[in-house]
Amino acid sequence: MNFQSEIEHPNEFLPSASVEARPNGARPPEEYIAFDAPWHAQLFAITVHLSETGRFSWTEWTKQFGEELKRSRSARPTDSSEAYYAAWLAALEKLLMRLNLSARHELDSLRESWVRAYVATPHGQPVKLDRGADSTEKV
Amino acid sequence: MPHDHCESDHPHNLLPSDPELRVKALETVLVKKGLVDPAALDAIIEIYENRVGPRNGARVVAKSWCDDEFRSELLEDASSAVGKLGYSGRQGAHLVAVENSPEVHNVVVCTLCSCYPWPLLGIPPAWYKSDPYRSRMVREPRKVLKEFGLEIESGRKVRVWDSTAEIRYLVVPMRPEGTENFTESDLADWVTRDSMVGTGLPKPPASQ
Repeated sequence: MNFQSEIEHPNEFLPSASVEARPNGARPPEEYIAFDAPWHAQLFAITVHLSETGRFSWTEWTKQFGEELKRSRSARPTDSSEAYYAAWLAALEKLLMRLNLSARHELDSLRESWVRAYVATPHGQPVKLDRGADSTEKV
Repeated sequence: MPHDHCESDHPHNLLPSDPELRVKALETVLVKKGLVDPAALDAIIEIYENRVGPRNGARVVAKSWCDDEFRSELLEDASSAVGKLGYSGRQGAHLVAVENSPEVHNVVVCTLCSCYPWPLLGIPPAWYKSDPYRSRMVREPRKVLKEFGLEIESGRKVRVWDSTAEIRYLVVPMRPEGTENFTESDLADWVTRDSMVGTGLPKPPASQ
């Protein structure tokens, strides 16, 4: 495996063409992209926030996440941000259930409520949870 | 996708992916229970997208090249030294700075997950979080470094540091030759993210 060619940003080690265009050799800030997708950012923030407000320690989190990465690695290699954050999500759901902060049926039912809200919302309008909601939403 | 369930005259919004929906569900549950404050989430994202990143680490490294007192402090107690510059960890992790020398090249990995000095380097790049990097760096560091284009002479030791939730590492690369007259801020432009993880070296800004 070659880290320059096979991992997500194959061009990140190559000189950036835009550098040449800058006067006086001033360079653009090194490319830094924190998150590839909004849900990665959201998931990251939820986890950091829960830990900072004392719901679990960061050590407890890394232990759960490490176990999940190991599990997901045996299924398929975690070499994309997508797979990495999928493992992160599974780990956070499990940790919350273990700490009795949430339950599987609760998460599944909310997920379904969101699906209904998306289906019921005409294109171009903001999707709100109460759209398409019915009595199954119990939190 | 249950598009056929749509009874509206207008096309409905595209259904998000499964993980997106699950994250939405998670957030909704936690907000309703008062465990999560949406404004706090926005603030966290804003910090990690805009206020932290490798430029912070670059300033620390450049300062250590120019200021001997700071360098000693950084190597002695990095958390305290960078704290004085306003960079402090949110997870309470202890920061350790490891300095490269003609004898030793340092490189950082997190074999468990992806622990990383966030306040100084931001969110780690995809390769740092990947299985191959996490599993191979400990086993065959020279080979992996070579794949990053970094060949370490056989007489030079390669030291691999495994980060944890409690200890994060920052590599302090060697100051490049020929930069004696450079200012601290010019030098900071040479310090790349990879040089602070140990998978690269400082480079002139024009070649980055």
